[in-house]
Amino acid sequence: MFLYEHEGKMLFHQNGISIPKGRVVYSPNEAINAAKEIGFPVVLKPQILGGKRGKAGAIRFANNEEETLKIARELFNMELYGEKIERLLVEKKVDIAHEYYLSLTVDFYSRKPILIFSTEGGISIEEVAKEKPYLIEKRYLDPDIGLTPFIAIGVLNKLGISGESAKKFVKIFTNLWKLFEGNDLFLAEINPLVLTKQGDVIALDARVVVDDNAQIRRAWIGELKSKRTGKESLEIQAKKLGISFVILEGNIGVIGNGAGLTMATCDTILELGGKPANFLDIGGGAGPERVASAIDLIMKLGNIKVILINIFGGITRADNVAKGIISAMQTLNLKIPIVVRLRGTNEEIGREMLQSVGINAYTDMIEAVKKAIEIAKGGNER
Amino acid sequence: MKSLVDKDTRVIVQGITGSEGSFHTKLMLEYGTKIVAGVTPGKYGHQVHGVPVYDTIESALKEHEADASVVFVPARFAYNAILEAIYNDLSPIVVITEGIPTWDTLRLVRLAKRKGIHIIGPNCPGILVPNETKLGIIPGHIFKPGDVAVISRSGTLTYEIVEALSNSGLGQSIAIGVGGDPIRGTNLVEALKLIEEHPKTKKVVLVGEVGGVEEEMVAELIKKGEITKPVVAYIAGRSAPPGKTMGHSGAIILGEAGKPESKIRAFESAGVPVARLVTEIPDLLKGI
Repeated sequence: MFLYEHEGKMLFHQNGISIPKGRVVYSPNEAINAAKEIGFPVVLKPQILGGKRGKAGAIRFANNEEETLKIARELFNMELYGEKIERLLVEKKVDIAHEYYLSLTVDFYSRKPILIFSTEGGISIEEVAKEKPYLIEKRYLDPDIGLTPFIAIGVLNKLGISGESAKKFVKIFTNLWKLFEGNDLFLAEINPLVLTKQGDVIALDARVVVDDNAQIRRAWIGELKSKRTGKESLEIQAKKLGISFVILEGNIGVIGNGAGLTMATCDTILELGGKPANFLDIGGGAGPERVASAIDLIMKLGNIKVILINIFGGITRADNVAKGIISAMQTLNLKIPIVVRLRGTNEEIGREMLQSVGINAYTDMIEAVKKAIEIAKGGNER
Repeated sequence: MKSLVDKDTRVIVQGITGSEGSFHTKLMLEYGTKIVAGVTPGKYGHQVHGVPVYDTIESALKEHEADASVVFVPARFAYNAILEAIYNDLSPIVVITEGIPTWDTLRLVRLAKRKGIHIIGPNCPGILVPNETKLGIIPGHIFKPGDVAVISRSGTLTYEIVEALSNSGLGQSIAIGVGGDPIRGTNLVEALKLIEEHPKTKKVVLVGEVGGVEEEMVAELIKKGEITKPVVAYIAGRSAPPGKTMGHSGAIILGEAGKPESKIRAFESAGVPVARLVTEIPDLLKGI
C-alpha cells in the first residue's frame, strides 16, 4: 500500500526524523486555521497517491490568509493524475540551503535492501542517474547487519559530506533504517531531504510503501486503510471480503479466480478490442456469498454494460460460483447481461444451474470474451 | 540434475489438519504423492486420510524418512513452520500459504540458500510432475506427460495454459508455480536454471506478469546463451494500472519497474516469442 505524504511523515516524526510543522486539512476554511496556527509563509501540498505534484504546479506557497484561501479553493477543485484532491497538507515553509535524496528499498530480485543517497535532491532520482550518476551512492545492504553508522559515514564521505553535518545525516540514515526494517516497508524515500539555512536536516517529502501482507502484525496499516475514501475505499472494502479488486476505466465488469487468470482475462478483453471496468479476483475456494458480493461491488461502479465471469476451478467449485451468480441476479434484481465461462471442479452441475436461469456458460475463454465485447459494444443479450 | 521432485520424493505436509491441508493431502495421495507424515502442533496421534500426524517435524522424522515439505500453515504461523522445515533440512519446501510478510520471506530464503535448500513459493500452487507426483494444489487431471515445462508466477493461469497444451497434444514434463509474492524462494531465473538441467524438458512456457524485473533477467540470460532450451513467454497484466496490486502482492508496477511493455520488449529482443493470447501458446511452441 502507498501512503499519503502526511501519513509517511507521521511515521518519520515518530521515528526521530524531523519534518516541517504541519497539519492535514479537508477544506479551505480548515486550511486558513492551520496556516494561522503554523505561521506564514506556508506551503499547501495536495495529498495524492501517485504522480508528480511539483511538475503539475500543484505545490503552492501562501504568505497570508487571503492567498491561503484562494489557493486552497483552487486546489480542492482540482483533479491530479486522475485523483480528486480531498486533503491538503499545510506546512511551514522551510529555508532551504541544499536538497538531498535518500531512500531505502527492498530489492525483490536480489532479496536485499538497497540504500540510495544523492547530494542532488528535489528532482527525480532517475534524472540524476541519467545526468550526474557520480552524485549518487547506491549500496546493497545485508539485512542481518542493516544500515549502521559506519555504512552511513562511508556513503556520506564518498559524496563529500563529513564532520559535524555528517553526524546529523547519520542519525537520519539510521533512524530511517529502523523505521524501514521495523515496519515491513518496501520503500521509504525522502526527496528532498533538506539542509536548512539554520543547519537542520529535515524531510520535506515522504514516499512510503508498506507490505500489505504485514497487516497481520502491524495494526497501524489497518487503521490507515480504514480512513481511506473514494475509489480506494471500495477496493479496501473488497479486500475484507477476501476479494482483490482494482478499478479500471472500461465498461466490461470482470470476475475471475486467481490473480493471473483474472489479469489475463482483462488483457484478453483489451487485446480483442474491449475495455475492462475492473480487475476482480474472487480468490481460491470462493463460496456463493463471495461471488454475489463480487457482482454487487462491480455494480457499484456504474456504467457497466456486461459482466464477464471467467472461472477455471481448482479449489473454487463451479457450482458455488453458479449459486452466487443466481442469488446475485435475484437479490440485486440484475438487469445487466452476464457472460460466464466455466471450467473445472463440478463444472457440469454449475452449468446446469445456470441454464435454469437462462445463462449458457461457455467452456472457451476467448469465445466468452468475444461475446462480452459484442454486448458492451451494443450488440444485445446474453 | 537430480529432479527437484519425482515419484520417489517422500513428503511431509505441514498444517495437514487444516481444511486446505487435509483436502489437498487427499488429492495429492490420489495423484500418487508419497506423503509419509503430517505435522500440526498439538495434533500428535491424529490421522488425516490415513497419514499419521506429529507435533513436530523432528518427531515425524524419528518414525519416517522424508525429503520434502508442503506448507499449508496459515500466514501468522508460517514463518515458524518454514523455519522448522529448514532446520530439519527438508528440500524442496513448497509453501502454498498466502499472505506471509515479505520481510519474513526475505529472511527465510537467505537462511535456506545458505543450507542449499530450495523453497518454492510462498503463495504458490506448487510443483507437479505428470503421472509421478505433485506437491501442492495444482489439479492433476489436466496434465499429459510430455516434454514441455511450464514455469509460472500464477496458479489458475497455469491450469488454463496446461489445458490448452494438453488439448493441442503437447504434453508436459513438469509444472512449477513459483508464486505470486514479490520475494519467493525460487524466482523465474532460478526456476529456469533448474529446468535447463532437467533431462525430460525440451521446451519451456514461461508465464510472467507485471511487477519486478525477473522476466527481463531471464531474457538477459537467454541472450547470453546461458539458457539454451527454447522458451515461449506470456505476460499477464498488460491492463494493470501503475501502483496497484493486481491480486498477487508481487504484481505491482512501481515507477518504471515492472511494466509489461519492458518485459515483452526484453523477450522479443532475446528472440523469445511472446503470446498475446493464451490460445496462441501451443502454436508458438510448435514453431520453435
